[in-house]
Amino acid sequence: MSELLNLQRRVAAVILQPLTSAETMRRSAKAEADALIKPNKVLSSFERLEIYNQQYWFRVLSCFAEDFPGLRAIVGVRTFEKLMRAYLTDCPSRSFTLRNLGSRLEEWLSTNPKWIGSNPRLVLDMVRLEWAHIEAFDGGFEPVLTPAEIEAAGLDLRISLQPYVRLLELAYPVDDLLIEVHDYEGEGNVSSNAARQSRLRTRVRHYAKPEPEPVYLAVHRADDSVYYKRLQLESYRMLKALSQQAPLGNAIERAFEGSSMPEEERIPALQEWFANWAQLGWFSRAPVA
Amino acid sequence: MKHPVRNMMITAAVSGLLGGTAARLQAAPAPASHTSGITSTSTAINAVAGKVSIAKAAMLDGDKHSCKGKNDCKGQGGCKSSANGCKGKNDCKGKGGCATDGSKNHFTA
Repeated sequence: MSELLNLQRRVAAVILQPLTSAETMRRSAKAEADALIKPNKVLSSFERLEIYNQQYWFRVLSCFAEDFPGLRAIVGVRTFEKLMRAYLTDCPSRSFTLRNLGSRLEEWLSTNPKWIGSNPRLVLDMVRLEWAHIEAFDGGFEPVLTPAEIEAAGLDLRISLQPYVRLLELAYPVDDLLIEVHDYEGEGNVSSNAARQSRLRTRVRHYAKPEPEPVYLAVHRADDSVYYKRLQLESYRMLKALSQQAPLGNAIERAFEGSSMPEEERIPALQEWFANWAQLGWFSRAPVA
Repeated sequence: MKHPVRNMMITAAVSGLLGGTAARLQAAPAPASHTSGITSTSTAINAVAGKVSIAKAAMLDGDKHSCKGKNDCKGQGGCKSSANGCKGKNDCKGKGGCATDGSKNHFTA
């Protein structure tokens, strides 16, 4: 290992250390700070390194909180504060962009169930939705399928779903809950924080029903806004199959396998679904195998 | 699934696809935007898109994701340690460090 790489790793190790409850650098870092950084006229080595330690944490915590308001509404503010520090300690930023901070959250929560509380499925559904929201917001985009391409391919058409369209199978209607949470967040300037938190808790209880209905959802963007579009089971299966590069005929078969939808309704339904999805620009050409 | 039924279903899907693609083109006088691929003519799209979660205006708010994924932050130094301006203060929280050039938010594009 080069001397520079070694130095970078030692500095990073100190910066990534969690702060104390008073949001200062841990005293245990003093010897390492003295070894790594020279003091100046106004700051000790410890104080100079502490600035970076603090700014790293202030930045990642605020970005994480901004990305997961729905999770905060469900687990409560106090638990959320502890949860995000624990998560970011175990899963520090590894990307050039803070956008990816929450990419490992669902997996981490599944292996750290003490943070999930009494309704794990509700929490995990919300985390999946909030991560899908981030991906839909800035996910990739391929050129949209043109009428000429559709006509040329005929019944042998192979299509792909746009990368920014995310498909979710949820146990709880967390889409509606998250929209409410966003609305409450937007009220920041007009109502007190305590009043908002109290109303949010009531709304979370409303959504945490003991026997929820499954929700099939497409999270996507249109005209630079993120949308949540509810799907039927069959249309969800269809899109899922297309997202896995299944040929159109196979995707249709998978969509209606074991379906209770009456046969006479299937053809008009298919026509309507594809018309809607094409209108939204969800399809591109499938990559050549 | 029987072959003729399968073909009818594929035909229905392709005809829907053609209809929707044509409708999209008619609703879009300007070329698709480079970044999103979605045109600003959105009245027809909104009818089928579902529920909007965060509207464009909110996402473009300077505080939202203003720094994420941008390299604007790179090399701007964060706090001025010589002035001790940031030490121990939470003013910087969520703002990515104190501006080195005196501006309040030097990350906003």
